[in-house]
Amino acid sequence: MDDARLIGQAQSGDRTAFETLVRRHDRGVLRLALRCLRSEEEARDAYQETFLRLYRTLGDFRGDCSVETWILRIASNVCIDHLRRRAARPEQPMTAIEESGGPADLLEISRDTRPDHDPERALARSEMHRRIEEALGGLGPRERMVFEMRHYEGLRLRQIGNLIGTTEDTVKNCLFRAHRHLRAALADLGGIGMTRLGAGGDAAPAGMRGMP
Amino acid sequence: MNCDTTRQSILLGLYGEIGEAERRAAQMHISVCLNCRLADADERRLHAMLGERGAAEPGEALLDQCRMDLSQALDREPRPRVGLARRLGALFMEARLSPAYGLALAAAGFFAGVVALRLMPALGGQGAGPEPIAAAVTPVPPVSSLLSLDSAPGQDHVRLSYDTQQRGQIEGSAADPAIRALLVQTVRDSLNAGLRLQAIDALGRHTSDQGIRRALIVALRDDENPGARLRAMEVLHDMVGADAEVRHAVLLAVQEDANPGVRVRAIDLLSGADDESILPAMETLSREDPDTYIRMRSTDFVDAMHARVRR
Repeated sequence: MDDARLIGQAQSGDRTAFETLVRRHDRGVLRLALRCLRSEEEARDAYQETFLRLYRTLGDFRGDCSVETWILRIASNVCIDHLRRRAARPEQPMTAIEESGGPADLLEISRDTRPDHDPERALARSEMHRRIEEALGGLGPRERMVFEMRHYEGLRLRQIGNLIGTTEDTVKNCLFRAHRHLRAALADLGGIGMTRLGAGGDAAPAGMRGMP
Repeated sequence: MNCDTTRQSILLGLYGEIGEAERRAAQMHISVCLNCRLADADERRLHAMLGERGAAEPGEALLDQCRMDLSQALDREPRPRVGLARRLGALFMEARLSPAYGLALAAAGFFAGVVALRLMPALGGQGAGPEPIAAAVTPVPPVSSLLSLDSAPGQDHVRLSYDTQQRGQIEGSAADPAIRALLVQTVRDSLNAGLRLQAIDALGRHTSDQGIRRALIVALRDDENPGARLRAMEVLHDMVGADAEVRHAVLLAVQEDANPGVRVRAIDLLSGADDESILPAMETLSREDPDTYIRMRSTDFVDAMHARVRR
């Protein structure tokens, strides 16, 4: 049964249809929340908030976009709200992750399972993951969301603009800002950032400067 | 193309967000500009390093917990208010979006017409006719497609052949042929990446079956979602050493996959396979791959393979 029909049944009060819809799309929502928020507790909150908002606004769905887009749009807004709230209380950084065993445990990031794997290399890899998480944590809410959606979720810039309610050019600019930050934050890993750039070379490209 | 626009193209190019003409123009600039060449290498290295974080899926336990929490929260929610107009709109939308449903409605209308003519002869302009035909009063299941319609001229009798569309459920081992066929179809055709991932996981328990391995190889090669490609590769992990076809598919992922995380993981998996025939391809990558990190990992691979051969 397709999403449109499930929405129709959910709008008629069919709770099973709604829960089928949830199960069809919730893995992507939780993955996005975990990636962006890096806290199991916050990701669970974001998951619930997303689908409760969906439930409460079932009557607003007009079919002018796919159900998946609609759900991801709600999830993106919820995650951005969480990141903004977190930015407003910087005294509570990523402790939830530390307590629950680190980000690798949350997301089951691929580990080096080779029987003959080199412990030094594994340690270096683990340190690199930690540094990447730290660098990502320094991004602004919108930059973080754009970067996660483009780099890890593989969404096109136009789709991302559609999800977070902005233009493709603004999304590009966010991506540039995110990369600039990450390049600077990870400069000492693998010699990144050793490039000596000309004037303005490390800033956003000319056409993008001054954009929101 | 100047340095500013080239830097823009370098980054967007890594994400496949530029056209061929722009890519060529950027390459031309890079070939004559040292700063941009270095920036290109930097950006690729950063891209690969960030790809190391890998494609990831939430754990099943966490997902189950979230679903349970949501179900309890929904119990406390009042039923959403949806107006009659919206409900009719939803009904119309269903019919518009689903040709099968539209056809089902049309078929139901047709049968209703037949019933009406039989029950109200005056409407048809005829006297009492023969007994209502059985099909006209039998509840009609949802019709997915009308196959044929036969009627004799001048006679009020038709024969319709149709396929029905019904929700079904099947459970059992993924090795069961019917379940396996459904899972393979899901991996191949579903538009829902989450479902594809679940199907890949389910099939991953039976990679000793060659048909399943082939389906997973196709997913590794063609799935548009890097997470699904990565998962397909992971579940084929145990077969990399045993099956040359799997090994070749993983090598192809190292050489051609668009996602650096998938490429790096593919190198990891190949490291467990004692197959010297992949050495030339890895040596080429260690020398020529545009991605610095891939070159580095390929060099490690080649060194380790040479050391094994020497032993």
